[in-house]
Amino acid sequence: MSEFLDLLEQFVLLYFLLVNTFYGWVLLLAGAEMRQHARRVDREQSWRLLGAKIYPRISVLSPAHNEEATITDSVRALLNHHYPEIEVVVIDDGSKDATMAVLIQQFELVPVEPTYDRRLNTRALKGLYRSRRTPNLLVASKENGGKSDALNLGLQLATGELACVVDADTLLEPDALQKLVRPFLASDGVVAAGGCLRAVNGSRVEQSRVTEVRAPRTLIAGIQTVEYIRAFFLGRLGLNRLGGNLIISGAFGLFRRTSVLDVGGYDTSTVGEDMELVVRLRRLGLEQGHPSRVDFVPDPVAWTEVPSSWTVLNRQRDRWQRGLCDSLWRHRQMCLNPAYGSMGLVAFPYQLVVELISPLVETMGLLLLVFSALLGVTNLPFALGFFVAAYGYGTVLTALSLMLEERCFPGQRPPTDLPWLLLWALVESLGYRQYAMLARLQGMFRWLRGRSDWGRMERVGFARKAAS
Amino acid sequence: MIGDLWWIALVESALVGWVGLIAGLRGWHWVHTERRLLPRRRQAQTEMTRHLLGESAGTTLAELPYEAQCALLMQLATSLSGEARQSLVEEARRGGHLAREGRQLRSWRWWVRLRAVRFFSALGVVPEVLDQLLVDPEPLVRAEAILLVATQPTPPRVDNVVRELFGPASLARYASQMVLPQLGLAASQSLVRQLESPPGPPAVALRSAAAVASAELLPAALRFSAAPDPAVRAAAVHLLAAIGGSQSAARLVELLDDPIRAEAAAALGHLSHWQAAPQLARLLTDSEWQVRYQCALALHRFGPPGRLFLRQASQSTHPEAASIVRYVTDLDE
Repeated sequence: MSEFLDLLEQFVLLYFLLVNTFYGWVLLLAGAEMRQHARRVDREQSWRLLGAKIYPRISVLSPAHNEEATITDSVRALLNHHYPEIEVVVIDDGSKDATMAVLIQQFELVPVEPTYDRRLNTRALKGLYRSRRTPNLLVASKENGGKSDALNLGLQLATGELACVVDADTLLEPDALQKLVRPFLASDGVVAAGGCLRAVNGSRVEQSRVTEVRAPRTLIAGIQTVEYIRAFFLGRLGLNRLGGNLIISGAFGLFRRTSVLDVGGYDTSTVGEDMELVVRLRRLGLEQGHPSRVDFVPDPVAWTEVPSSWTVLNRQRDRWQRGLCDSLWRHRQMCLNPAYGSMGLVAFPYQLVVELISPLVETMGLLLLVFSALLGVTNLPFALGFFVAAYGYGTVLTALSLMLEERCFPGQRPPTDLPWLLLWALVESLGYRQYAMLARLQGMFRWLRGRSDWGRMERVGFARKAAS
Repeated sequence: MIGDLWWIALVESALVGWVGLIAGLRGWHWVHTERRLLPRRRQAQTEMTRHLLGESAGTTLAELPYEAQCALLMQLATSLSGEARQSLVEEARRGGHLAREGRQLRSWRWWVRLRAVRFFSALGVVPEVLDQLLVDPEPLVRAEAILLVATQPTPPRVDNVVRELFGPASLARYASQMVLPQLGLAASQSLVRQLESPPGPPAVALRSAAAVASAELLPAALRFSAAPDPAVRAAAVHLLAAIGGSQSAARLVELLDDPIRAEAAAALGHLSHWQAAPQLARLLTDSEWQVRYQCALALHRFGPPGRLFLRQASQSTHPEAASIVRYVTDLDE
């Protein structure tokens, strides 16, 4: 029995050492990528692009469901975006409140014949509207079918070469699209690009613009802020150098519209539709010789509100894990398959070994500690090694990610933010991480049992100025 | 073993502390520097503007750090034109900025060359080594150099700009597309030459050529409208629409039977070639939505001749034809 426990302990320690060593390597690559990016944008004058008629038209797709309180501000913010050729497509997904009535009144919408180039099956379109005074606004009202279904309709209604997917409550920085479009100008091989999603909790928001960046002073939001920083500035930036990313945030991503239509649009049967689409785009692109590169660009920013309650956080992480399981399972033939290049040999196994399995291994490690303690045979070296390898090393990587964020957005945060962010990085492992891990485990088991719902996501909203 | 782990934990804690210290110092330094510089930068900007407009004799530009001086010069260049712009360039020359950045253009490091060429590009000053920059291995450097060609477009420079259109997608190719309309006749002549035997895929060049659209491009457009690649044919159609004339229109009508008939229909609408109305009306029942849409739009653009056919189609028993007519009519209203 003790030999078996020893074996498990060795496995857990070895797993974390390998994972964190890989992360360390990814961090080095992320640093190199950031330096390369900084050199590319040094003295860049993006204002030049504003007068260029040849800029690819971007259709911003904004699915909405029961958003009567915030829809006007959201749409106005999108229409006022600093991009020369922008079209905003709002898809009302069967709202039961006054979302459509508000849109019709605020933007002087008039109905037009509901016809479009049908390439995907979606729930029925109830009405199509154009604005008398805003020619680049298109509003569609449809039967409720979920976010993926709404986006599929939006993709077909849109006229832009590129489609930007944003959540209704995501705030884009005014120059986010100018920056996010760069990979598409630089290469025909890019099929999607993701920008940086940052937590808006704690920051000051005025008229749908973030006017003062501030780290949250609350536990849950604060830890998620450092999680996001680590995920984007370590994970996604580093993966740019390892063959590209397998995921783009559903709240802020830019796609070649026809490429997405060609692969069948979003899959409406999965809760991880954003990741599943990107994996499918890349896989089919490689199989059929089409564009398939997915880039992460660190400086275009979209702000989103992260969950501020344990319950909502639980639902979110549960859903993310189910989405991850589903996407990896659907495209499992790519794993360690050299036909898919670095995606099959590095990016996919990374998601499998690090993102998918880590809750299981970490739980095993914690259970071993508890079990040993209960039996009175606590293996102190293992316990210390576990904390050092799993948590201590992870905290170091998080702290280094903070430096990368600061390099990308120098001086944006007040000096008082850094101690808070370091504090959240330190306390992350004292309960929060374990809670999130359990939520992910729960998600895995729910996926195995065949659950595919979203759960209810509650948001406080940032329409008013944030409280200090 | 336990002792080793304690050491590792200590090292990790030290690393976290070190990261915090470095990031904190860096952030503090940046904020402190910016706070110190901000009023000086504002003052320098005000004085510089007044000086360039002839309202004052001197500036405090030299009191700023070099990088801040360059940033200010580049920022002012965006809002000045004419004599004020020339005065700005003179200030940059007197202050040694052009000389210093000019030396950087010869660096073996692409990012140094890029910074320098961006400075010249922002001020609209053509550096001596522009011709070398136009063939620089780094696309970003070439892109900035291309933006300067419009200031002094010599035939070899224009040829380099046009040649970029036949290359793979890059910011340099994008810059070429941006600059082409400014080059006018010189670009047109270069396009004609290079389309004779294209150095690469011609689709982007054909599409970009629509921005200059001179009659001498017509033979090339007609020739490529029969290319086996539909993307090339579509690009040629785009160019024919820009060039116009009876030969273009006749060829576009022929292409209404081609897989790229939607583009051909759009081009006929652009040309207001109402004589094609019957053929376009026939395509209102096409199986492809884009074809129906472009035909309906084109008919709508023809005015009364086209709207006659639209009215007939709106009363037809073909539901999709009637639907697309209603859609186009609704858009107009």
